[in-house]
Formats: sequence, C-alpha cells, structure tokens
Amino acid sequence: FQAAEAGQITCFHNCLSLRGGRLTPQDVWVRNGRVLDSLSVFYGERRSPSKFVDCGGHILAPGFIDVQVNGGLGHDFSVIASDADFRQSVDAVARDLVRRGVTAFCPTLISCDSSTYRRLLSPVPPPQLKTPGSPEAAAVLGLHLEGPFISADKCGMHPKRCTKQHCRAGLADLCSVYGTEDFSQVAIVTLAPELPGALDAVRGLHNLGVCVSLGHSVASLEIGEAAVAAGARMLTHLFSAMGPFHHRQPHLPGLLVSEAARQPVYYGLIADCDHTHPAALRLAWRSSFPGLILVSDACPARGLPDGRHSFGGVDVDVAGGLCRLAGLDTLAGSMVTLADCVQRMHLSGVCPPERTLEAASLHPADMLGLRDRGRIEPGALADFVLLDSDLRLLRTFVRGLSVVE
Amino acid sequence: MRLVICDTANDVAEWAAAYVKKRILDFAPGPDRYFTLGLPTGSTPLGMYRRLIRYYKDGELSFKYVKTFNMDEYVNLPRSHEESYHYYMFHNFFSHIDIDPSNAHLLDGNAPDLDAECQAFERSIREAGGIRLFIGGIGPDGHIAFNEPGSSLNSRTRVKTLAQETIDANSRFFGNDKSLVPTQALTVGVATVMDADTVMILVTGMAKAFALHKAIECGINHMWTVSAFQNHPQAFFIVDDDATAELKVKTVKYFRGLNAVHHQLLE
Repeated sequence: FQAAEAGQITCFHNCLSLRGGRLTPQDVWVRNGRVLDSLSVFYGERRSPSKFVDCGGHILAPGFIDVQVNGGLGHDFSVIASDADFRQSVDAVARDLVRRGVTAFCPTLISCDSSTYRRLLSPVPPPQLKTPGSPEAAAVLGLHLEGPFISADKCGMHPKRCTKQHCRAGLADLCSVYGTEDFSQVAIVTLAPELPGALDAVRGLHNLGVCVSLGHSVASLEIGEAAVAAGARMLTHLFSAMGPFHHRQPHLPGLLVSEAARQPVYYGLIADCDHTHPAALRLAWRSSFPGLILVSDACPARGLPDGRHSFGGVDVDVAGGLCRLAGLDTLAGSMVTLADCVQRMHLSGVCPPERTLEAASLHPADMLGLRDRGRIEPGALADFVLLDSDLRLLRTFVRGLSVVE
Repeated sequence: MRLVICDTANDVAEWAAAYVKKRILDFAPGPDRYFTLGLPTGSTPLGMYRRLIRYYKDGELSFKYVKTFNMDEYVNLPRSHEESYHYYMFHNFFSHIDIDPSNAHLLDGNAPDLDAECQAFERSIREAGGIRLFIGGIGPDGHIAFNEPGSSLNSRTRVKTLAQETIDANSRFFGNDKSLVPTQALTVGVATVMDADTVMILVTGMAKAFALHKAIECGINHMWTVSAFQNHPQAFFIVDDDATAELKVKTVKYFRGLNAVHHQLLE
C-alpha cells in the first residue's frame, strides 16, 4: 500500500487521543506504521515529524476490533464452498469493515455441519486465513468458531441439527468435528461448558492458545467457574442464549461478579440496544467494566436492504434494522457494525466515552493477547479511528495511512 | 531594572510572550544566526508558552532558528516521567512548535558524569554565543532555577541537593511517596543567568509577593538569590497585581507610572 517514505515521521495533531484510558490533547507520532515514543525520538534521536495530519480537534482512538462477525453484504461465513471461496467472502467483508472503523476482526462461523469445517480446515497445511490488515482491508485475527458444541436448548438461530451434545473425548472430539488438529487459524471457540467432556476440551484449547468463550449454554454458575478455572476467558453475547441471572442460580452471568474467577472474565455485548436493553448494559458495566467487549454479531445480511435473505443456510427476514429467523421472533445476529454499537452505547449514556472506546479496542485485544493492537502507545500498530464528540466515525487509519472512503 | 505591573496573571503571560516574539523578530534569525533563549518550567510560564504556540500556529513566529537552554532538571528521574522537565517542555512547548530537536538543550539528569554534563552545558551556551534572553520564575523563597537560599551568587551550572522543604512539597507529584522524589537537581547558576543579555522574571500570585519585595526592595542577598538581578544591566520583572501586595505604595506607583514606557518595548 501507499508506503509513506520509510523512516518518515507523521504527526497526528489537534486531537484528543485515547492514552492510558484518558482522552488527552496529546499528539500521536507514527513511523513505519507504528506509534512512536515521541519524547524519546525528540530528545534521543533529535528528530521531529515531517508530515502532519490535522485531526480537527476530534477524538483519535484505537481502531475497533470486532470478535464476532458472521458476514456482511450477503457474504455468509457459515456457508463455505471451498477455502478459496471463504477467503474471498472474508476479504470482501474486510474491505467493507475497514471503511467502517473496524481495523481487525474474527470471522465467525455459527454451528455448521462437520463437512463445512472440513472444507475449510482439513487441507494440509491449513490455509492461511489470518491477515495483518492494511488501509484496504481489516486484519483477520483468526476464526471464531461459535459452536457446534452448544446446548440444544439455547441454540438460538443455530441449526439444531448441527449442534453436538457432548465431547466426551475432550479436544479429540472437537478435532474430529472441525476436521483438524491444527488450531493455528482459530482465535476463539464458543462452547457450552455443561456438555459432557467440555471442561477437558476447554483445557485442551487453552493449552493450544485458543481463547475459549462460554455461551449458548444452560450451565450453572458453578460449572461456569469450573470452565474459567480450566482456562475459559470469555462469555459469548452475555445474557443472550444463556441461563438468566436468578438470585438462587445466577448461571453464566454470575461470572461477572464471581469470587472464584481470579481475573475478570471478558464478555461480549451486542450493544445495538435491540439485543440488550440499556439497563442490562448498565448492569454489566457496573458489575464488571474490565471485562466488557462490544461485539456487533453482524449477520450476513448486514449492509443489505430489507427483505428475505439467508444466514447459515436458513431464511431470515430483515426489517426495521433487525434480522429475524423467517416467520419467527428469534433474532439472527445484528444489522449493525461495531462503530454503530459504539455510538449507540455512547448515546445510551451507560458509561463515559473513554470506557466505551476501550470496550471496542483495548479489551478484545487484551483478551486475545494482542499487545500491539487496541491501544495507542509506543510500539503499537498505528490503526486509528477518528470520531466526533458523539463518537460518530469520521475516518479510519491503518498503519498511519488514511483508509480511502 | 524594570518592573512591569500587569493586572492579571493572564496579562503577564500575554506581555511575556509578546516580548519574546518581538525580540526574536527584531533579531531576524537565520541559518547562520540563531536567537538564543533561556527557558523555565513550572506553572507561571505555562500561559506564556501557550501564547507562543499560538503565534507559531498563526504563522507569526517561527522557532526554526532559535536555540533554547533550559534552566534545570532533576537527577535520576527518567525523562519520560511526567514530573521531569524534559516531559514538561516537550508536551507544553516543543512538540507544538517547529524547533529543531537538536537546538533544544536540556540538562541530562541521568548522565553518567553529572559534573561533566554541567560543564558541557555551560560550554554549549558559550558556543551558541551566550543567551540573548533568559526567562525565569521565582520560588516563594526567592530562588531562581534551583539556586535555593544560600546559593552563591557567582554560581555556575552544577549539581544541587534539594532543600528538604522542596522535597516535601514535591512528594504530592510522586504519589506522596518521599522515597520516589528526586533529592538532587542540575541547575544553571545565578552567574549563568547573569551572563544573559536580558533577563525576564515572571512573578504572579500573592504567594510570591514577599519574595518579590525581597528581590527588588531589599539589598542583594544570597538568601534571596533572585535579588542578584538588581546588578543586571537589563533585567525585567513582569508581575501581576497580586504579586505587588508586599511592595511599598511608592514603588508600585512609580512603576505603574512607567507603564506607557514599558508598552513601547512591545512595539
């Protein structure tokens, strides 16, 4: 891409930049696609910027990271003809998302037939699905396999026939259904921890460096705590498709305030204000801010007009900004981007803008162990969003370069 | 000595910045001709820096051919620490203007040989042709830079051990942990500042009123080091109304009467 001359320093000035959790009127210096320690460069190297980007007094925040995207513009990540076909779909969505403030994401597959996973993951060596991202396309951080080891009672819009009700052999059962022992292309697996063998599977995935998320589950809090002890780090779309918080049995939402979980458990929230009432957002934020991760859970019809579309091989109806299973009330993903979620979260008044922005960048990056994403600090990738004071997206930058609208 | 009495601290900042601008523009600096400026830190000069940045942004003033020399810096404090003067100068001034980084001189409190660092600083001032305009503030005890009470009025750039009072006062900037507060600093000496062609001292607020009285209405005394500038051929004190609270009415009346004359300095 349009390489700024190597070694040239670009200064993003006249901005409120999100640094260390605060919006500060600090300039941001970028060289070779990464954020610089400007003070050290000034005094140590005795160098200063030669290129300036006027941010017009707006907010400069890390690029958004969406760990749950099912597709978009008609591309359905859960319907795969071949790995080449899948990569094309992902690329088309990545090109769209980067113009909408998402600089990195996890393509998400809902519960599929084993043959679908195999088409994608069985080739040896496995196809390279991860991408570093560019001003033309958002980075692909790895797959999010949402299912099929989930509760039949909480499968939501996932095809029930695809769900698997046990993994007694632990990780081996997952390998056989996914058709691979190589999880290098997988970032997140969502599973229900109450299934027989699930805790062994959690341990196995955790050891492979895969982030395990709990969801589509009727698990009690106790089972949830056992799964967290086994290495699970996240809850998939908190409140949706899980046992509700009840005062005698808090189910998985209880993990937000669990004493047993030593570190904060991350949780995805679909902050479109349709899936989740603002009061529920507020409850989650007040219980456990450090775990909050905004996700879009965007469905393949996102970006398409109202009408009949398909998702995971089933018909869905899109109307009034919502996507439902045809003829039913069941929501089938959202019709929004993460930037929309950020704005809606902000307008709901649930939390201060800094916290909303961190929930869409820093927290997902930390959960996935990505130290150079989701933050504006020396050494981090210069992937930014420029937002007005209502957190409305104005521009996106990847590696310090403007994304062409 | 001139005493310029402004109404408010804002007016002091305005006056000081306008004077700096006038001096630089009158000098007409260029590639073979650098203007040299001595600079302070602290809360008093902040407003002046903001206005100088504004002049730069409005295209009225450039620092391309200006060399700056800062008065002081703590010893053994990382320069990226928010309380370091490197940090202060970078974030409050240098990062907003067009100064060449190699022309921004600060004492390195982390240098392996601090005495050598101090001597090198004096040398670089000499090599730059001396300082045209040195700007300073004063402490409530009348110190200039880290030349605390009792410092020799003939002192040059050196290591100073901070007064216990200063360390106590500073601990609030270090999470109230006194073990983290620097106990030493590198500072230009009184004589280093005396060498400058012009010295401009900014004094604002009631808390500095007694120090101003000692500086200009009493004798030269090393217990109030800023009083040394009574002997400087071209020293200015730019002060706000509050800072004159301890001065004699006669003194204030005399200098207020000269306001029109002082204003001509900016034209």
